[in-house]
Amino acid sequence: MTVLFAVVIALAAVSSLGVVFSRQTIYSALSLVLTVSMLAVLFLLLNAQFLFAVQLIIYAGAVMVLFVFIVALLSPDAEDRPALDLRAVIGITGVVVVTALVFIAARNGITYSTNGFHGTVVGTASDPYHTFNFPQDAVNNAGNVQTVAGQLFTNYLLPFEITSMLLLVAAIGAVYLTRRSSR
Amino acid sequence: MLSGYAPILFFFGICAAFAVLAQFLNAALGPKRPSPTKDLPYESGIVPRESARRRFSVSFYVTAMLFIIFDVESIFLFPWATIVRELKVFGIVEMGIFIATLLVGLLYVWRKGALRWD
Repeated sequence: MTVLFAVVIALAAVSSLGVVFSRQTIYSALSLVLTVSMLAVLFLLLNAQFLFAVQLIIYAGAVMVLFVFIVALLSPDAEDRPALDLRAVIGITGVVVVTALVFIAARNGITYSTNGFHGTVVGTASDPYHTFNFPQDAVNNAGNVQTVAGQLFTNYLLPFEITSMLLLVAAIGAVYLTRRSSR
Repeated sequence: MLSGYAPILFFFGICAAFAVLAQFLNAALGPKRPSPTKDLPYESGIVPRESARRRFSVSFYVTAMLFIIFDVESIFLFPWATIVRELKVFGIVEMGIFIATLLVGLLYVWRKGALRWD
């Protein structure tokens, strides 16, 4: 388990470095495929099989197709990038800050556990659809997708419905922008 | 828990090994008589007219974007379908609102002609 975790983390780190340092934009996109695939495996290690499938279908599949098309649309040629400018400094600072935050969070108990995800218990344990504590056995008994669905369509109903508005805005925006530019 | 995925990992390993081995064997065993004609990109026997390194049509972007949007919509249908009996009418109504909102988007896209390939 720990070995697999280490391999996945290492591959994710190497491929994300490939995203940043590739001269060709298309190679950055292909490295990003490996990065999001490794993140999907992390979901699998966290006993979140449904999110694993979603991560692969949406990110490694659909979003990467979009990225590749955008790369082909904008510039197939190599990107000329300066060695070290303000953006690089801001990026490195961001990486350091986020890494520090992750370590602080891990120190304070928000951590990876082989027994499933543990949050604060808010709901009642007798009602599986209204609980915030997800021991692995209970989740596997109820069904992984069913647990996600039970949360999504009751406790997180408003974010779910707002998602449809977000998708609507994205659809209208994409069509509007491209219709304007093609004229 | 994860040992159930061992066959899949094994399968991926065989796939990768086959791909690498095929490349290696091709380079090692295949005869090599290069010519300028053979170096041309092969496109169903059609002679290339111009460089492939040019901008793609923006229609590809629109298609990919719309694909993502309705892909995400269908992803939400999977978990919903597993517990729709427990949610009863409430589940039907909330998914109805969700799909109706996206249907507005689909009608807009359709009316604007973005589904046609011009």
